[in-house]
Amino acid sequence: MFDINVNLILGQMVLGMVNGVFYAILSLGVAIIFGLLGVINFAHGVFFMLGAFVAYGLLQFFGLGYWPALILVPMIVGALGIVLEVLLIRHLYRLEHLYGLLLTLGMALAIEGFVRIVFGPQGLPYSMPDNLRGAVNLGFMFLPYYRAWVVVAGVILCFATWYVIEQTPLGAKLRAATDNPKLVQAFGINVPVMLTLTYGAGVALAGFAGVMAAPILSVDPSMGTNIVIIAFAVVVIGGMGSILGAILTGFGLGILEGFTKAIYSEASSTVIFVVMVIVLVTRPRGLFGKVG
Amino acid sequence: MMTRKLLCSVAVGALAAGPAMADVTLGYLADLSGSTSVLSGESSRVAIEMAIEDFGGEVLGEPIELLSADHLTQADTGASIVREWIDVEGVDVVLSADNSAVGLAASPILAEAGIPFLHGASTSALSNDQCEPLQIQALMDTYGLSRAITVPLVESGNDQWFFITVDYAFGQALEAAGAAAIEEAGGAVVGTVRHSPQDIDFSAYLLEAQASGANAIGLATFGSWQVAIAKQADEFGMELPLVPYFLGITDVESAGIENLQGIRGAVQFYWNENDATREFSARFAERYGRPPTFTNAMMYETVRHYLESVEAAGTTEGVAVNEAFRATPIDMIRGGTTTVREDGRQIRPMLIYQTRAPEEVTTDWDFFEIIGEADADSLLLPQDQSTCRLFGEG
Repeated sequence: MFDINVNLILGQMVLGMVNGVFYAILSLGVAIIFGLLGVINFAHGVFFMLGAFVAYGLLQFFGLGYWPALILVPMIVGALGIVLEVLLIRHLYRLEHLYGLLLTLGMALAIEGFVRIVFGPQGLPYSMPDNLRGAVNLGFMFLPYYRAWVVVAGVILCFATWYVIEQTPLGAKLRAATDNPKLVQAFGINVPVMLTLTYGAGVALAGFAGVMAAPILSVDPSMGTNIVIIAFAVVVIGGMGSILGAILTGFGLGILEGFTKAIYSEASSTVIFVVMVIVLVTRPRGLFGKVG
Repeated sequence: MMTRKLLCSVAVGALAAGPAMADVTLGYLADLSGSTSVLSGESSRVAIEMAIEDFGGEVLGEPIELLSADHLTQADTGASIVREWIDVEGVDVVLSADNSAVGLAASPILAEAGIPFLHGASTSALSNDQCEPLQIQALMDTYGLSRAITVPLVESGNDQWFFITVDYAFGQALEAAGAAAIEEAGGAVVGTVRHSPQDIDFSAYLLEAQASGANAIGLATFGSWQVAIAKQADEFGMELPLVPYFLGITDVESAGIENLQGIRGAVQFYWNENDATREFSARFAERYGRPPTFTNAMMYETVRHYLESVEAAGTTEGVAVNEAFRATPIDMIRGGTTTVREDGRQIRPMLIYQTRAPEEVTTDWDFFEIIGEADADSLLLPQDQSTCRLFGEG
């Protein structure tokens, strides 16, 4: 049961890191939306799925491949997010978090159902970009160029987002607006627009992750259903609303999951939730949650 | 295509909701929304409708009514639908239940009510411990599935196997039967991983398979998991052959033929095998937009034979229809016939295929090249190993 093979463990941890990128990007979006809007966005997995489907649509109907999709899809998915925020979500900001959760869960089920009716439950093909085919030999494993690209792009995206929110004047305004919207509004800043754009940006991240996942995962209507649960576990472990916590925990748990796959694969789908339970019991604010 | 799918789902709703006063009522219980629905689901309902129409829409002078419902791959949901169909709708036969857990839950209820159950579950438990006099397996069981391709591969030198198995009853049964077949044929299983139904990334398991020294990877899994495995194996440039046990043309379409080329497997029906299958498939494609999968074809054959049996028996009463069903051979779409053994298992062969290279696919959906046939008897659990109590009774 417990086979120890160093190369295998290293390989699994590298692959875990790749999954960690997806967890980190998704959790980052969830954390931003919760941290700044106070909405527990259960529809996040659906935006991830839509990212992959829009990429498929761009290729199928407009002949636009992977690289244009990487730019266009987040914009399209983000725009859809903005529409939904204006029509539905913003009406719940004054209520408890639970209402936002129920609304976004309902949205998720409805959108997923709609996609299933239109495209069917069958997976859709999406090829890898030709210039990222092939693999590099790391000594202990062959790492496909595509996965290496996912790690690089994911890390850059995550830390750029963190930088914007934590280190720039724009981020400071955003954080201030969520802390005391009335005061910030009094300074002449349009808070509702700011929140709408934040929601759009959060789901755009999910759309981006969806495009990155399309060449390597099965593109089907339920592809976001399971991964969003993990994203929530990551956010809880990292500390609700903590941006850096979501990123670091996403990567860390991906690696832990990979390590578990190498040691005892049957436990790999539960290890993240075991960690979640331990963290909730011993440190309910999460690993990076602020005390206060 | 889009509109038609929408209309179809509306029709299902209407059928499921409407009262069933007809004398011959068929209940099609299936996964209509989950991952297995790609292979059967809506498309098998179309196949059943074709069988009904081909039969003239009525039997014994009464119209044939088709109910359909989604079991959501949940055993308790499936069981309560079956109970309702028996108590309220007066169903005469229940079809499909294309999920082992649902099939196992529906079986005792239908047996007690004396209603034939022509099921589309693959677990061999339904023709062993849970065999019933009025129960017939429309699809190949896990025993046959696991042997059809395994034995020839082991004999041709792929004798070290690594299994990637979906961690529930179907996967485990398939893996166990596959492992037994491999060892019997002189090969060995060098490793196994069980993946959770929640898994979406399988690269770690593929890496492990590569490290294990195996020369074949048995996929005791299916659907979107199998699609993801194929994509990722291609991404990692794996040279180990993948061996799917339950691969439909719909899966190949999803994964892209470039990710599944040169793979050998076995299947019960292939649409482009001969003139008869092509003729049937053209009629099916007219209604559903693609050729039939093996599950679609099996449902068609089974329902057509059921209706013939009702006519022969002159009644819809379960025992009499069952007797007639078993008394005459079932016509296969591809030509030839099959018969039903005491345990409800159909004695039928499987086709051995090799998937084509992308440039060889000149017709849409023509992914397989048929390269051989696994003989029906070699896929049949020997009677002395069966735990079905019905042997020797009649």
